[in-house]
Amino acid sequence: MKSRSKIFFFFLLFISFLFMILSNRFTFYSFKNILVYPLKPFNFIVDYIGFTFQDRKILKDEMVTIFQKNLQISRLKYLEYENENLKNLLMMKERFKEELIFSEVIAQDKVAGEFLTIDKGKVDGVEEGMPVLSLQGIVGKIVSADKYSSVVETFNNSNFRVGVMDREKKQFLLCYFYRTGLLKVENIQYDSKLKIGDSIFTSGFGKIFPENIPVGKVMKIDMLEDGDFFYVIKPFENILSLKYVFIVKMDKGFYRNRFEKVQKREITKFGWYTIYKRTFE
Amino acid sequence: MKYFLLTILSLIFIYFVSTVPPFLSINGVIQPDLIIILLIFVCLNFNEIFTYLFSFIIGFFCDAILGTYLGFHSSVFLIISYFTSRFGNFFYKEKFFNRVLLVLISDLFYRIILLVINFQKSKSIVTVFVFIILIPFYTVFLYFLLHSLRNLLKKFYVTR
Repeated sequence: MKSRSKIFFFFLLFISFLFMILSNRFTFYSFKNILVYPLKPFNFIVDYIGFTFQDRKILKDEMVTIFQKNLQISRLKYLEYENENLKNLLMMKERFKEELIFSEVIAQDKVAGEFLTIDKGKVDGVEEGMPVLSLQGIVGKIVSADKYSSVVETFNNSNFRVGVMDREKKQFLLCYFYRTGLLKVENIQYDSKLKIGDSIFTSGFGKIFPENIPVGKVMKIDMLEDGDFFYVIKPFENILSLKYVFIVKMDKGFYRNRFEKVQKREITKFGWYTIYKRTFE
Repeated sequence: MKYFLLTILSLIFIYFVSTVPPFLSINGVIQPDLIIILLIFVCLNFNEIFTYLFSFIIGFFCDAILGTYLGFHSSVFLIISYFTSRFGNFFYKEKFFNRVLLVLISDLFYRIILLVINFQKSKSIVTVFVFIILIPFYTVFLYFLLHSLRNLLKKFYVTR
């Protein structure tokens, strides 16, 4: 029995060595392929199991790390954006002589963008009628001030109007609400040299907004039914994506003096108005 | 029938063990040689002729799956099974320590041959350490665990 098993062992060992010697030949490659062929249906199951146990875990971990990195990058980008905004706001402080109240938009009317709610109220010195500006330009005015928050009526409100002028301070006009996101300037003089693409600024006549604040660009020139022209103005600021605003605490005395200066300039400009003034004063 | 079933089950087991990489492995690097444990189990519990045939078939199958030289695994397994079956003549093979020693020596032998074959690839001393020390001892540890589990189940079965 023992010798039989020994013979069997050596026989199998001999076959194994024979296979080993011949295994590099082409016929043995095909033989090997034939041997593996019945296993192919199992490969799918094994792959799936392998994927389930290892790859899925690795992929999941990778996904989590990528997601975290993305989150970190977006957070850094947001911080950069916020930092830039705040820096610009600080630069604004140097530009204005008046006291500024910096504020964040905490709620807004997302449909028409008529009103904004900001996080500064009467406690911070906000009063009704104060002008609200942003880095791009004009935003609106305070219509109601509570203790800790205030409501801003933006240029998208139908009641909005502001005195505007061109860059050379030659034309003084009135700007109204036209459509959501657009303003219009009516009663244009025939010698007006404003072209499409020209910027307009606040004139400071309304006793609300300070002078020289950018309002918008002339988008197109349209005609009314009676033949008069009007400018359609595209404001610089988009109310719906507004994050930070600042309120200008106007010095009323300073404002009046400036208004008087402008009046004098007007008087010198228009002869008839001078006569009118002289007559009644 | 019993032998046939055992062989088929073993083949399926080997197929899954060799193709699913993280099966009981540590960090995907230290992979235990469960085939050696299976081989030792068969050698200690079945007759010699079946053992040789079993090692030959299993080795052949391993070669086909792992892509080594056809006949390499079968010859190694045949040598291991031969010495394991001869081992019973000199030592008391029912003793647990002897079995553990047998698993360790067999695995060491298998790993050394693999290292010699793949000598070109394994230049690093870390690889040699993992191949010669960590994997055989991890295999022995798993054998110990399986043996304990078997004893526990046996105990449970007897008391029931």
